[in-house]
Amino acid sequence: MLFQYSVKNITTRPLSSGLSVLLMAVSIMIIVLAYLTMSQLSSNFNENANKVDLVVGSKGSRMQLVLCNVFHIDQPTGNIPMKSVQFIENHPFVSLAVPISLGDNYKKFRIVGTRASFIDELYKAKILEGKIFEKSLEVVLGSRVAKELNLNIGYTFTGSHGIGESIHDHGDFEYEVVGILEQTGEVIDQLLLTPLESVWDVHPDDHQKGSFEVSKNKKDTHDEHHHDHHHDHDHDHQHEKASNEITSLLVKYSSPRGKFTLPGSVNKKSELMAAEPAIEIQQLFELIQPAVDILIKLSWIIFGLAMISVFITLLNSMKDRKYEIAMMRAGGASSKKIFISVIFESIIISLFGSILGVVLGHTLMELLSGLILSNYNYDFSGFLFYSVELLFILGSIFIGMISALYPAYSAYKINIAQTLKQS
Amino acid sequence: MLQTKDLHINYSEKSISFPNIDLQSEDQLLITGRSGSGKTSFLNALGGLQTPSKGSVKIDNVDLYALSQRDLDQFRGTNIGFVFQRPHFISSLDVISNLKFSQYLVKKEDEKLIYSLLDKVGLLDRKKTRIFELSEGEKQRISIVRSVVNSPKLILADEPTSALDDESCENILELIRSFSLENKSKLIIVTHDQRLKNKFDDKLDLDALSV
Repeated sequence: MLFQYSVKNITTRPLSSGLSVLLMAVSIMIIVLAYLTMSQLSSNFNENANKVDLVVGSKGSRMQLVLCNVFHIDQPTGNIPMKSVQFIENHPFVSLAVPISLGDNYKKFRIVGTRASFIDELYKAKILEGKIFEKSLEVVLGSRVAKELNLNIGYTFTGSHGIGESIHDHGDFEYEVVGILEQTGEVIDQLLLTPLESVWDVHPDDHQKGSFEVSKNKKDTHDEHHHDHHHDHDHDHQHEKASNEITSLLVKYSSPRGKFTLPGSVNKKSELMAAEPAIEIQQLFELIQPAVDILIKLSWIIFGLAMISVFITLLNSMKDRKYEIAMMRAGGASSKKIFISVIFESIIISLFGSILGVVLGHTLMELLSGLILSNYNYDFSGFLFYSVELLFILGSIFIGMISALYPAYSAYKINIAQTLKQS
Repeated sequence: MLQTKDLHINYSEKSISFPNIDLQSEDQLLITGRSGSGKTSFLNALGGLQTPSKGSVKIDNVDLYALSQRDLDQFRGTNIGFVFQRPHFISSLDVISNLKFSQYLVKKEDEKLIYSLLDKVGLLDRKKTRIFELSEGEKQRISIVRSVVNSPKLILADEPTSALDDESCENILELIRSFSLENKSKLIIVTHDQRLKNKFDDKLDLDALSV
């Protein structure tokens, strides 16, 4: 009955109660949204970062190297000669080394030239339909690519030059879909995988390098050699060329000692650079953290406003209700009961506000996940709940109670006789 | 029974002493006095709403001001019904919920009684009405119902008719008196309303005393 009374007191003042609930909901929504984004981003990024211990590519930005080759977000830094990384593939501390070559896309999904080990060893992705590619121009689709573009085995298409946006089409070369992968929830879902030879066939001369703006800084002897074959369209010959280029080499160590020796020996080479995904991702998070902190501070301010709103709403309500409170006291209500009923009101408002905030946060997350998917290649979910959210709700209720203390006290200490005399 | 002894109430500039009264059940007493005579304070003191500076109030041998605040609240809710000049209700609740709430405050539940009382004041069809939709006369009738929903031993009415026209005044007075008789409650009405003067046998004129 007392609870019912508190609920009624809230619902008879829909505007001021609504404002309190809304402010509370918005602040909790921002906190939840920031929290969900950060924790899913970090778990997604870390999961993928842990797949690869070291990325070896051309000199440039380490962050870019990692973002481009592990997360497939940024532009490539440039190409390196396949020959130059052979020592890594044979290195005793390396268990797996997978070369990849980027440059083309199909309807904004990246075409990645690589080896079969990229699929079955590095990402441990299983074939859902068809088979893993065997020869040039055969393509295996990540699950999302297949779903989104609705492609089936046997489909043929031509790739577009560039990454993400079409510069021009490679009309002469037709890829053929030979396999589709099961969903992994990782970046491989968004890729089209093909043998390295495909990329070399489609880009027979070093105009390939023109697609990457950052390839200028590597002037090595291989370039000259490459120029000799400038107009050589003999594809079979192309495969044997020592100057075949790749975008990067993804490395997994066989021993932790690799971590201490390999990056150093790679970085000593003039044309090579090594980047550790784990370290780069750590730095990336340190970069975004201040922005997230500001967002959270903003939500605290709104939360503070919500509490002030609860306080003012209740205090005004006490003024309006002082006669009925005096009357209730005359009718036998103890001052404790009156006090509790006011606290109840703040609890109900806080409970509604914070639950609404959590719901809104998750809904917005689900709506934004499409956007995040296209920007970061990661599937975010609005339906992942964290136990800390329960803490948000409990915390809101607690602080809501505190802001109701004074209004509740003012009702508690009402002088019945004097109040009734005023009326 | 209701007994007062040597009751004094302090005001900022003066202290008023009140005559001792001794009521048996079903007694109906009219207390009159001009404004400032302290009649409302007297009533509040009788009802456990205002602690006197001196003296005692006993209802059925329970000394009201010897009780703890909490026990006094319960005692008041159980044994005393109030009717005020301007009736106030819980504005967020409808008529029936207001009456049920009064019973809830003393841990009582008697919906039948509420219905029969509402029927007697002719407002049974208004039971789901929100308070602000009632007229002043209707509100006063509901407040009389409220004063007896817990079957109190004593009904205290402060200027229950002063704001009403002659016809309503008559009706309201009749209701209060019949309800208190049916319920075997003592009734004390405090008023300056001259219309009530000739309707009571037991009268106490505070003005006459202070002279």
